[in-house]
Amino acid sequence: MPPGDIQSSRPVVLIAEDDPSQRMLARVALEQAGFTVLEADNGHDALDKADRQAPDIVLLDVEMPELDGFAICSRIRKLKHIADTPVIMLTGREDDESIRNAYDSGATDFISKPVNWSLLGHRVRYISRATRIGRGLRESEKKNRAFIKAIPDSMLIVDKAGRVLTHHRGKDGSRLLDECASDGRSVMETLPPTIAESWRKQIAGVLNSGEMSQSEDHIEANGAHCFYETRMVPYTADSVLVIQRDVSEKKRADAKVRRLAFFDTLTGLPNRQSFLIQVSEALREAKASNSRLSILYFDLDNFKRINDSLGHSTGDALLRGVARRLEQCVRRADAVARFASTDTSVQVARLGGDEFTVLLRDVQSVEEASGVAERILSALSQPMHYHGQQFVITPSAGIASYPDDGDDVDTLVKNADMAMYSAKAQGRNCVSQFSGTMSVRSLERLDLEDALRKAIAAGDLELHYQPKLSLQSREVTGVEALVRWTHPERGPVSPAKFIPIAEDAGLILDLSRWVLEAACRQLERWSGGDLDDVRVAINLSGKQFRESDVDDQIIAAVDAHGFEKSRLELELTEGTLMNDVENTVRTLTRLKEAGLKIAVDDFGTGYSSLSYLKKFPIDALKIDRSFVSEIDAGGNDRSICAAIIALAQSMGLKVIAEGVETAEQLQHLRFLGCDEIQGFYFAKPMPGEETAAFLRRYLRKRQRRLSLADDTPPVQAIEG
Amino acid sequence: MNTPVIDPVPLDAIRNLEQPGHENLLNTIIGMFLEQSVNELAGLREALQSGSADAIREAAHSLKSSSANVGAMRVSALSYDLEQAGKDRALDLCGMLIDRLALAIDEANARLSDIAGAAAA
Repeated sequence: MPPGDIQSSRPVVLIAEDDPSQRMLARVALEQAGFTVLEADNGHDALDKADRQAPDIVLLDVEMPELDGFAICSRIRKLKHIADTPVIMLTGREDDESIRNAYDSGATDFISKPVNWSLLGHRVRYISRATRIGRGLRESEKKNRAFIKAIPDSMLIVDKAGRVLTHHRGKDGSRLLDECASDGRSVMETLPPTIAESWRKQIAGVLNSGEMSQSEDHIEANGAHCFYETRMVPYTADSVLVIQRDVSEKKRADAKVRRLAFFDTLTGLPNRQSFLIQVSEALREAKASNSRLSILYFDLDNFKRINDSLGHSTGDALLRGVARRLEQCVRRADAVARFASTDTSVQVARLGGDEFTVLLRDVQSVEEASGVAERILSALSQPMHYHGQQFVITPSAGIASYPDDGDDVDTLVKNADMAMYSAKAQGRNCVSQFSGTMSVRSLERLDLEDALRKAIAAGDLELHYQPKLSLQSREVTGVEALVRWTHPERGPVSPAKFIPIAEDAGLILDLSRWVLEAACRQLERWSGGDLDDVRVAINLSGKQFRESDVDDQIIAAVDAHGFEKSRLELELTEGTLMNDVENTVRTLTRLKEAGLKIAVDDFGTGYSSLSYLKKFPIDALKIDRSFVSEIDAGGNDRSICAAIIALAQSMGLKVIAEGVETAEQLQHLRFLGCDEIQGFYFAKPMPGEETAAFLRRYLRKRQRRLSLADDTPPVQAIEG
Repeated sequence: MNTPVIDPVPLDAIRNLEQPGHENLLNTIIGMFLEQSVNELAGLREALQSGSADAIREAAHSLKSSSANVGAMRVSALSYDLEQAGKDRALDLCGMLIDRLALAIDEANARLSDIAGAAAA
């Protein structure tokens, strides 16, 4: 207790004395010394007051009637709330027996009679203070013990030689230290030699410098790995306080976090993050040692299709297989030659999806890197087996090397990626070295892909509509919806360019869905007025059509917009139809029964089996523009058109010619009996509003012509 | 007997406590002793007559302490002897000691009365 508290409240002293004059003197002396005095003139009264008022100090005359001082003292010691109150016995001078009895009964001190009254106050104050200090020390020790008990760390005090002087075993204390503490051996004898040596140095260092030292000790015992964080501080001139914390759990947790952060959970290979770190380290070394490094970038050409058609579990199994092969390859001397000799000279990683990388350090030449890539490629191309099925994976590889192809991580990885794309473009399953010319083209493509992804997500696309004309009735039979995209910087991008990109980048499904939705919105807008019977045709991509619930999706989209289902026409290519005939028949039948119209697009370019074609519930064939464009050139194309038209007629299908651009082409088609035409000669694709205006204008003209009974050839480009 | 009738040291110690509020402390204490000593002596004689060695021992113990308190060292010494005799139940010795104690008390009280009178004056 701090001294301030002693001064602030007057301590209470109880004096038990049966002699009234001595009691009076004691009161006067103690009051003058700053005490509040309680008096008792017999033993019972004294005990009662001590019990009730818990004085800070008690003075007891030994000899009192009924209950003597010794008895009172012993009883006070048994009362819990006052047990540690200091008790001073007033004993006779030279009364050895009394003094002995006083201590035996638990007295704190004694004062022999006759009492020197002028000194009594000082004496009692001194004992009182000593008691408080002692009590304070006991309190603080108790707190310290609680503290130490609550700390999970082990604490020990060791001398210079490492002998344990004091030991507190922490929650997960090391058994080795327990042993030292119990048998008095030096910790140096029990700890593993390397740790003992480190401790010996640390103890000496700490004693020498007076500074704290810190280390981490890894102790392996009975196959269990324990990690301890050890801190040492000087304790006395020749002993050291050692605090040892078991950090094994933390270590394990850290390792797990590192594993999750830096390793791919599917294959166990390092992930993109750790690959980038490895490259960055390797790059630093290469720069320092003036050596070359290469990044091999692998992508599995047909993996997306396997994943889509056979499910993710098969895909995952194959990815694991690829990872194992890559690892085997880089370990096997014949695959990577001398790279296998050192651990870190070659590192494999999975960047994500079906992209894998191999980092080669200290490469001698470009040829060496491509040699390694070729060997890995051929190893990966060997058939794989999964659940009794055989798969052949064909990877493409790109290589970029420091210093030739870049001197920072990003550039090297990007260029390796681009080289890989170039390999794909060259026909897949091959290796391509990065080259400077590649970058512009590939960058453009990557940029387009990125912008297209954003445009689709944001709905930043547009549908244009190209009208179709019936050659017989001279009516507009409908419009074909064609998707248009305007790049924010490059301006309009041709569908011939961006649709293949969408297909390669896995965006085609999103794009197709957007088209379906946009067309349905347009049809709804045209409903209920003068354009109520306009039909809109949309192109279904193969991927979209292969979705198991494509029929539901389309019917739901039409229902959501509430127009007559026959106003939506679906155009599918031959390739799409022939991919899975059974499913095609089922899906088309469902759509057809719902009322939608179905046309085969680009007819003549694929390999349609006529027997299958008959099974499909289709309404129309569209002659591919390539035949139409050459129809008047005197080649085969006119015969092909004739054959298609005849075929359509024999099957009771409507036939539509696409890409009609000249009056000559139109004449030929009319002659051959083609039902409808579509092309710039009649009308180009136009935005929705413009299309509506065109249709209305055309409708008015036609009505006028009908009223004039005019039969002049009607077909002319009428454009807004 | 070498023991002085009155030892001035305890009296000085009491005088030291004479501070405002307790100006006549020594006189009060001496007065209390004069009365107490006479009472104790009477008590001792009674106890002797009734043959109560325990009562003698207790009274002697009390007198031993209170006389020492006012410096009446000869009274205190005789009280000690009497206390021991009481413990030993030596009643004959007790009678003898009580007689001598009476003389010592007279002697001490005369001196103490002088001291008190001087202090009062």
